[in-house]
Amino acid sequence: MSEQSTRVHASRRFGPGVDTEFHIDLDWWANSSLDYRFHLYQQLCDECRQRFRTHVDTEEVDWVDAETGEVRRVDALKECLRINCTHQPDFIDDTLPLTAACFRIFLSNDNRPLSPTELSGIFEQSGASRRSHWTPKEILRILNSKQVFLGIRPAPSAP
Amino acid sequence: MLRKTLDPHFWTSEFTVTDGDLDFLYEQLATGQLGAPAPFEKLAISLIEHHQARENSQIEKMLKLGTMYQPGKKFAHDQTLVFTAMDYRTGTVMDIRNGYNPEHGRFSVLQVLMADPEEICEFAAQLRTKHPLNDLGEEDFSAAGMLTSEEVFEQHEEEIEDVLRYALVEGPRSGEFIEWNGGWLLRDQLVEVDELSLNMAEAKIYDEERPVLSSEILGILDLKADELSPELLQLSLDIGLSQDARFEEVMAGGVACWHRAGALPAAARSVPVALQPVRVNYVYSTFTSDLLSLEANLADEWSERQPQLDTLGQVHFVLLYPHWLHGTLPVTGPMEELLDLDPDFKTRIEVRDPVHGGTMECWYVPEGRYICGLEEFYPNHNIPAGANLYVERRSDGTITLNFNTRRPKQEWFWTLNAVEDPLLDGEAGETAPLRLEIDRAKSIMTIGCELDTHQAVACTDEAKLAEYRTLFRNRESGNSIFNLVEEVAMELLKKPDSTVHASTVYSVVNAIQRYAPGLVIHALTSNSRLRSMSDPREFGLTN
Repeated sequence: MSEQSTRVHASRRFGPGVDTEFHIDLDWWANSSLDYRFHLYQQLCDECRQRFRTHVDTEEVDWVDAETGEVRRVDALKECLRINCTHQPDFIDDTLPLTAACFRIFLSNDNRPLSPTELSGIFEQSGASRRSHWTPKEILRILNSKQVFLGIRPAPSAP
Repeated sequence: MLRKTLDPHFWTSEFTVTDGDLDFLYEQLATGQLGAPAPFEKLAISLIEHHQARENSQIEKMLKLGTMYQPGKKFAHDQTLVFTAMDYRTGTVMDIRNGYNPEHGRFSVLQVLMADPEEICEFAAQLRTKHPLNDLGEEDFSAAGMLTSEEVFEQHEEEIEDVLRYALVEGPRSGEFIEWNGGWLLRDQLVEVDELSLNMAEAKIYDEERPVLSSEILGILDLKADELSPELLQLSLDIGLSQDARFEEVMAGGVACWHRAGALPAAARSVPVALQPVRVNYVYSTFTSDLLSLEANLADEWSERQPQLDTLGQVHFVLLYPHWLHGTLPVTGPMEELLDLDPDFKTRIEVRDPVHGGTMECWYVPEGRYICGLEEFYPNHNIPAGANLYVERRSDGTITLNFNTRRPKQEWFWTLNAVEDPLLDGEAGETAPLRLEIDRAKSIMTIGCELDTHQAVACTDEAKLAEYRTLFRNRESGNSIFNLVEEVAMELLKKPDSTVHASTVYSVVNAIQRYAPGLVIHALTSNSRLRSMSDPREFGLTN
């Protein structure tokens, strides 16, 4: 038996590990009673919340470029996050719960799957002192608990 | 950004010299508007002006093609718009629909067919929220209030110089431009100096037996240049001569002249190995004030610390072995000041012999920081390495090389030799690598000039020492100064309880390899096998 298949079988038997990749599971959000777009709106910075008073009817808007006046059809909340909020220095800071911080990391990276080891590395680099000491194992324990927080679950390709 | 030329990013990252730019510079140089040769700064400033003027005319032209797009305005079908924030691209309104964005309230969206390249883009119109393009007025497009070309050059000199110099020196059209003494001109502006002319120039200098002015050479040549100004004609000759290894531009009598390279003494043509310094960065933190003043007093031409020119208008130095060997004088800062030397040119100097009278033809060699031509003077007057010498410039401009005479007597010298030990386990005649041996020995000949006893250095077999010098240069790398100083110090301290003066180590080390005194002192103070004595300039072995 190859080393690769041994690893896969072992992880199936024992569940996700520190190298298992997680992401925001949009199917989980669709099946839950929670409103994903409301949670998205809550992640906006104060300035962007002033631009859009509510999360309602923001899925497809004519976004006007601030320099050229050019118009593109985009999701207003995602666009705000992409071009503005995720670049704010306090977007991921010590005041956020760990799960919310992970949620914001996935929002800022276009929901690219990341493992607890990678998340731990990102926290360490972010300089958020409280969270910089979270080990991959501790992050895994939270993300892999019985309750799913903010729809963060193992990515489909994960073993 | 409405104007690229106002954007620092353009000058730091996007600026390139195009074929059109080179055509423009060619024209500027051909008409002589920037001078001939034109200083580099003038070329650069004129090119910046060219970019600014071209941008002005483009803006003017584009704004005439249609209505300036502003998101707050209302536009109609088929209307041609100019998009100032998109490099002045133009487009035609194809369709208009209602826009939706809770942030902006009611507004329209124009569907525009853009030109160059053709594509459909959408733009906001009748926008009631703030947008910077709505604030644009005519004054934003006028040239008034722009940075001047001089100001742009001042702000981005380094980047602009890099790009322009590359285009002129290495670009595909570099053959059209030529640099001469920091100025630029066109190769087409010059007349070709053919082989016959070069041979005649050589014959003229040979005949005169002295450096000759360009104008004197021009007088005997028949350069075909009917429309060429006398200045460009002379420049053509200067450039032609400079590109031929037979000629060397030198300074003689305060003017630039041409001389035969072959007529210069060997040490003026190239710097001898023994006078080529190895320069290494070092720190002064380990130096006491005595060592700092010793470094300055040793008055080495490669030293960072040099003494001031004294009020008597005299420069004193102790003759170092490599200078003695090649008949040269060190040109320190004070010496350069005293003799008013131009560090850009080899310069012919007449030095008066204080004993026999008459003058010696000497040459200042800026790249070696010395004056050569004294290879007969030192042996004729029995002046050894370590002699105290004085250079003086008299009120009539005469330069004299003096030394204090005294009753001749035999003197003690540090005598160094490179020796070959036979190999004990080698084959017959096989020897170990050369090693240095230093002894205190009395000179056979009597010395009739004042000596610095610490720096009196001699060698009985210079050929062997030269071999060791070459071996050392080939063998040693960056740390060579530390190895050499240790090797020399251990030899000088081989007698029990002896001490050695730092200036002795400096003088002996320099007989092998030219190093500035600061480096030698640094190597002495940082060597754990050596310790300084009560006089910090004296060193002994660590117990």
